[in-house]
Amino acid sequence: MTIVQPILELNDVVKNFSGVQAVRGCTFSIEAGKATGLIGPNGAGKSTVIELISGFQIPDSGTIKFNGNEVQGRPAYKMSKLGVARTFQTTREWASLTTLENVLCATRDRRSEAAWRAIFDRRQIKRIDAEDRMRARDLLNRVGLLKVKNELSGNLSGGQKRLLEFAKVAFARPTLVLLDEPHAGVNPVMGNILAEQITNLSKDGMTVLMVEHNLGFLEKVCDNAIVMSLGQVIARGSMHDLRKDPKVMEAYLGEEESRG
Amino acid sequence: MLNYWVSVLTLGLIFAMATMGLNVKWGWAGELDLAMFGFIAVGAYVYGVVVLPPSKLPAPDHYILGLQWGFFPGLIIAMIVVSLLSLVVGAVALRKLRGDYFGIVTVAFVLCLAIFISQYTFLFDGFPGLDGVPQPFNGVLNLSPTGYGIFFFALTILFTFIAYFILELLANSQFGRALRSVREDQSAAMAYGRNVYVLKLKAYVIGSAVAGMSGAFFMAFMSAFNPYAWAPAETFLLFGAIFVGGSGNGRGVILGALFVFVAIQEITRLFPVLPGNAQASDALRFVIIGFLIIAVLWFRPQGLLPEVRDRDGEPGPTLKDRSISFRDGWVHRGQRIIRIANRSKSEAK
Repeated sequence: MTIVQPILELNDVVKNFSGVQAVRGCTFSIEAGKATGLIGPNGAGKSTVIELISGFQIPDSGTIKFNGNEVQGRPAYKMSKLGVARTFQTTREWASLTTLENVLCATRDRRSEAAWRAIFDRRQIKRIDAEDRMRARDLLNRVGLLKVKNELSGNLSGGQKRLLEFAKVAFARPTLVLLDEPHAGVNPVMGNILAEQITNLSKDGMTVLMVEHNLGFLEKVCDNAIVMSLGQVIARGSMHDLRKDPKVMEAYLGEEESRG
Repeated sequence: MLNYWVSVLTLGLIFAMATMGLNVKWGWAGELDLAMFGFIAVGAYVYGVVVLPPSKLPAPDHYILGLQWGFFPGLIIAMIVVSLLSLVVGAVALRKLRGDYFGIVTVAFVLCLAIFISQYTFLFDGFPGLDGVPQPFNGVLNLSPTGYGIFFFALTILFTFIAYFILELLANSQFGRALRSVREDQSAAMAYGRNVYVLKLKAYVIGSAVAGMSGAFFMAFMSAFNPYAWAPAETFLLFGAIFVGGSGNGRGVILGALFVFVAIQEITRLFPVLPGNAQASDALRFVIIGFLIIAVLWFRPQGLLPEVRDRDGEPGPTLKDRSISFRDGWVHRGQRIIRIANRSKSEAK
């Protein structure tokens, strides 16, 4: 087996929120080009880890390496420039922009957004816009939102907003995709399509790290998963192995199994 | 009568310019800038001191510069000075503050500015202010008062149109879209690589430059300006014009400005003058505008002309295209846009 260079490495990352230790010494790494799940009971610190990697929070201590470079404490827009895209647990669409505009706006290409181009380089930015629109329509088509492309995104249903978040992340063409509960509120049929599309992302060489509570969905998409509990990684491996791990059963899966 | 209407409409258009500037800040970027009248005033003063001859006022009265440079240099220097001033204010106030907190800082700024300008007589002659600013081009044209009024009205229309045209280009570009994304959700805009601080600062400076332009026109039109002419509270009239006309819509805010600054002004003029209370009709103007803002926000919150929504006319791809690579890009080949398999757009170029 060849050794794959990890694209993301967290080393002993700590984050406190005024007394509450959300993440306490979290250490893990994920390999490039794979889809990895991040699971654990509520309050395990999964979403905080996403916030820390994407630059929305600054860790109190510890290091985060992305592509071999230390990136902890960099602002979110710089992380995006490095190739990290994320979705939010509560969907954050730009409500008074249309669905299509939302996708167009998710570009990481800053050059066409220069104010002077709007006046002096109109041909070029119109070309870029026309090309972007083709790709945006294609992505909306994949997640079944093409028919609502001209609707204001604030008027979409919860599930549709979820799918829109995914289309936006895919439009940004990042190297690392952080998905925070992409399946919440999505119906089973669209869920299957979404699973297929997330798999496509990793087939295309993008690395996916995904927080998800629906383990059935996670199993369809992810090769393996990292289990967090109380701000630390307690296990990692394939979903099959994790189900047998007593520590995991105790922290999370056991609860899940006994319920359903 | 013609004179009267021409001057009322000219003033209405000058306020429409200012409203367009505020629309860049509030309508596009969502910045609650309450210092707008401060920028208009600085534009007016700077235009004045560039156009006026050197100060010969008895001490301590004095104004700076006195260059006698004419209309266009005055206009351009006024816009540049206001832009630089707003760059400083914005760089401080936009750094960490959002929404109301940003608004509070701008109020503090404009109140300080008003006191500073009215007390520091060396700069713009404090309370007496500037007067006797020559009418632009009339030295060459030698028009009758009515003819000149119409000429200046035409000049104002021209510049209102130029400002409108440039702002519409900006609004309908990727830049305008990026600003609207910042207005709707800053964090999400940041997640896609936007430096929100810089973007908001750009909008702030562009909006202020337009305010500087309207200030210069105000000075050229009135030929005098002093601290009584710019109560910081008048900024709320500009907001009123935006709410009535339609926030984010270029034509809407011009309509709103004409409505608030011309129509309502004229309506309150028809009210009978109360004996012993000459100011009543002027005060009623603010009351009526207040009610109007409430009524519009209640019954038609998007304004008379709502923000124009993007209408994408072309149909998208068909359903079976679903499994192609995310790395595919579309690029122009001549007039057609074709798909380049498995390559990102930047690589394809």
